[in-house]
Amino acid sequence: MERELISKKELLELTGISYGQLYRWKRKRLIPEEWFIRKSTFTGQETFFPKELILGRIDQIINKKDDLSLDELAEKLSQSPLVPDMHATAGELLERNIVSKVVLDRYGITHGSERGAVYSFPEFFPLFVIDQLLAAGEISLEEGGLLVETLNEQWQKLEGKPCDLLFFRKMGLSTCVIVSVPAELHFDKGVKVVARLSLLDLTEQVKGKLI
Amino acid sequence: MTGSENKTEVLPNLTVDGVCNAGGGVYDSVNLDGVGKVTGAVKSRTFRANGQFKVLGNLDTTEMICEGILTVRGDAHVAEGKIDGMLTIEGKLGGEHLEVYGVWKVKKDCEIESIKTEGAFFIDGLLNAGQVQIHLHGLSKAGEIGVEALRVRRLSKSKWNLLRLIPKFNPELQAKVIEGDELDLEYTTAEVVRGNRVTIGPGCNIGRVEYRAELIKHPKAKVGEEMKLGG
Repeated sequence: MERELISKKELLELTGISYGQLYRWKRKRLIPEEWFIRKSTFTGQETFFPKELILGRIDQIINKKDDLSLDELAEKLSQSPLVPDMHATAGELLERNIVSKVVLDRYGITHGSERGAVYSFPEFFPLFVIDQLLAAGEISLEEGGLLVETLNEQWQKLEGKPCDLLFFRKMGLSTCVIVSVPAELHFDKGVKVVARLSLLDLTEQVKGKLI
Repeated sequence: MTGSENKTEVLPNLTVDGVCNAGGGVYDSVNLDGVGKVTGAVKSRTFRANGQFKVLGNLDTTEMICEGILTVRGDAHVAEGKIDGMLTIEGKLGGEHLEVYGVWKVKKDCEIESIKTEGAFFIDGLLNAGQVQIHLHGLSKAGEIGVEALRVRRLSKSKWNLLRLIPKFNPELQAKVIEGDELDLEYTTAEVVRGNRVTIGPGCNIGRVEYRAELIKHPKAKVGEEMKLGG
């Protein structure tokens, strides 16, 4: 799956920020260098960005820049991309729409979903992932359990590498795989890939909701 | 900032007079007079160089005063600096407030909050800065320029006494792309200029100008295409 890109010009038009702001945020390390993708187009070289990541990030910056200085914000955003050091209580997860009540009741670390229970990032991130898939109607609650288990077991081994999570079915059987990207996968005809999610993108989304 | 982790420790000073090589390291203040090399990375609170010096590594300093010729064989980070003469950085240059009078070259990108320069410069990468004031004495080049505010002016040659250091071309700024909020250009050649408020002054030769708020064009400026964007 190709990441959707957005050109610098479109980005500025869409978000209403100026060139000066964009360059300033780059200088302050609010926008990582890797997101500036140079490509040649018919009008010469242009800069592109991964669309979802950059839009999410700019939204965070605009919303938070009144409360935090740019330097403080840079510090928050620059934590290890895949395993940020974040904690949230069950209550917060619900309030900020990170995890729905159904998922929390069923797969939460404390049964009966006490609102005060504290979740670390590796604990609530799998819940967020399946919540997304459940909301999209792509998997069933049982299959969600499989995903949570896989993510919990494999999380440490990923060591912050960018990975995709694939969920696929064949003849009614469902299974999931975590692959480090970039990788191309080819399946036999009977396989239906239900979902392919970039864990890095999802991490960014969660960070955006929590900061 | 430099040295904050060493608050309790008293850092040594490095002083060079005459012709001498010195080792790199972490210093409180570095004073170099004469000719020589520093054979390694230098981190210091203040860095003063008079004469001709090379730093064979990265340079990281909070305050820099430099007169003469200085070459840095790595990245340089200079929070506050005033440079008279020639400065060559073979890596990246980062800083807060810099004033450079003379000729300077940076092989990679430049990230500076505010810079004022008179003379000529060659930046192979991107010049990313907040406020930029350029007074041209000679041909200056940058790969790309991305700024909040940029002002380019040409100074009369007579004020300049180090002319021989500068390639004898017309004082002119060349860049592929210039992007910024407030752009006020003179004697500039660029493929594309994109900005909010753009002033294209005399001697400019611009392939395409894209602007949002306003475009002021000098009758002697050459502009290929003009485009007004957005509202």
